[in-house]
Amino acid sequence: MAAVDSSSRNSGNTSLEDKDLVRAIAAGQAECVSELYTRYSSMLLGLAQRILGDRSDAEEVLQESFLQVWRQANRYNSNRSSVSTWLVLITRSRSIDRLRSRRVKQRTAIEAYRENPVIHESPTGAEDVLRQEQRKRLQRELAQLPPEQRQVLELAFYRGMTQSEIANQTNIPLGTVKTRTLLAMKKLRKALKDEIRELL
Amino acid sequence: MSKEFELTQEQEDALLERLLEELEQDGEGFAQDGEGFADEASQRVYREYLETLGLLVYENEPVTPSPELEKRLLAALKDEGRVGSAPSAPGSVADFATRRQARQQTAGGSSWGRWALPLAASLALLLLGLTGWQSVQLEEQRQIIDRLSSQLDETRVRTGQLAQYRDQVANFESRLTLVTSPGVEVCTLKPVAKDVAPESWGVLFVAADHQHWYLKIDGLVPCPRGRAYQLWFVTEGGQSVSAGTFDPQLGVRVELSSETMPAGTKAVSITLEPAGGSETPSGPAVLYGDQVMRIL
Repeated sequence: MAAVDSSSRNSGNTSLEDKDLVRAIAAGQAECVSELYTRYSSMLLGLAQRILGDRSDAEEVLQESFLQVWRQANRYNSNRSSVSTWLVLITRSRSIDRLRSRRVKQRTAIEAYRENPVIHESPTGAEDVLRQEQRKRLQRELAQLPPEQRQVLELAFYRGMTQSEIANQTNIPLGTVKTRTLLAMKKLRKALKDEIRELL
Repeated sequence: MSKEFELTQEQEDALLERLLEELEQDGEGFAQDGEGFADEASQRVYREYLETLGLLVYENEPVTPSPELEKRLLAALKDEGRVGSAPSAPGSVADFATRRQARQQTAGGSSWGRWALPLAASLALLLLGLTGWQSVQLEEQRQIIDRLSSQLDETRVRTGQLAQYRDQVANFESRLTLVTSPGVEVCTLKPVAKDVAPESWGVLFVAADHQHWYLKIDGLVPCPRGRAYQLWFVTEGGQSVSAGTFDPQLGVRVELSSETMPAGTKAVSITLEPAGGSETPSGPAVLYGDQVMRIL
C-alpha cells in the first residue's frame, strides 16, 4: 500500500515504497519518518480519534506511534505485514493503552455538551481518490455484515475488548461471540481479496 | 499472486483464534517479530487476516493533524538524537589510511616505504576491526533498548488496566451510594416512537437532594451520521433544559451522572437532534419518563 496523499511534499523520498522508507528509518534517516507521516498521519489520526473520541488525546497518540516507528523500525518485517497494517496496529495499540490508562471518568452529560464535538473533516484535500474509494468500499462491505457480527468486531478492534469482555458486556455466550467474530473476519477476508493482494 | 492458500475449517478457525488472542495482547507482535508459522499456507492465510484488520481503518474518515503536531514530532525525533548507520564519509580515518597506503605504493623504493606499507595496512585492519566491534556493541545496545522499551510498554498497559479497574470500582461505589441512599427517587424512561430505538429503556435515579442523579440507558443504537441524542430535563413550567448530547456505541450501555439538576424537574426526555445539540427539542422523541417512584 504505497498510496501517497495528494498533499505529499516533494522531499525526494516520495518515490520510495513504504518498506524502503521503513528501512531508511531503521538506518537513522529521520526525514523518512516525515514522509511516512505525510502518507499515513490523517488515516491514523482518524483511527485514534475513533478509538479515543478526543482530538487532543488522538494527536498525542499519533506522535507516540511515530516515535515508536522511529525506535522500532528495525523490528519491522515486510514478510509479516504491510507497512500500513503495521502502522495501524501500532496506533491502535497505543490508542487502546491510553483508553485503558486514562482516568475513566464518567463524563457527565453536561460536561459532554460543553466539550467540542468530534469534528470529522471533509476528506477533500486530506486523502487521494484511491483512499476515498477504498473507504467507501470498506464502509459498504462492513455495512453488509450482519449487525451482530459487526458489533463484536468493532468491540474487539476499536475498544480493545477481549472475547470474554464482549460476552459479559453484551450478555451473549462466549462461544457465540467467538463464532460471530470468526464469521465476520472470514466474510471480510473474502470481500477484500483484491485489496489484500495488493498488500502482499 | 495467483497461488491460493486454503486451510481446513478447523485449521482456519484455530489460526483466527490465535490472531484474535494476539489482537487482545496488542496485535503488534506478529506484524513485526512475533513467532511465525512452520508452514507457508498458515503463514499466508494468517497474514491475509492481519491485512484484513489493517484495512478496517479505511472505514473511518481521515482527520488532518494540526500543523504543529508534525513540528513537535520532528523536534522529538531530534531530541532522541539516534545516529544512523551511515557509511563512513570521505575523509574519515579509514579513507585517509587507504589513501596514504596508495601514495606509499606509488612512491615505492625507500626502506621507509617498505615498512610503511604493511604498517598502514595493519592500521587500516585495526581500525576496521575496531569499527566492526563498535557496530556490534551499538547493535547490542539497541536491542537492549528495544527490549526495555517493550517491557516498559507492557508495564504501562498493566498499570493502565489497574487504574481502569480502580476507576470502575470507584464509579460503581459512587453509583451504589446514590442508588441506595435514603429518599432516592426512581424514574423509568420508556421508548416513545416505534421506529426510533423501540427496544431502548432507561432508569434515572435522583438523590434526595434533587441534585445528584445517575441515568443508565440500554438498547440505544448509534446515532445516524450528523445526529446526536440530547438529554432534557422538563421543569414544572414545561420548559426543557438541555443536559447535553451523547452518541452511544453499539451494544454499550450509556451511563450519565451529574451533581446538578434544574429546580422543579418533573420529567426527563431524550430526543434525536443535529450533532452538537439544539436550543429546544426539535427532533423525534426517543425516550420519556415522568413517573417518579420514591424508595424509602
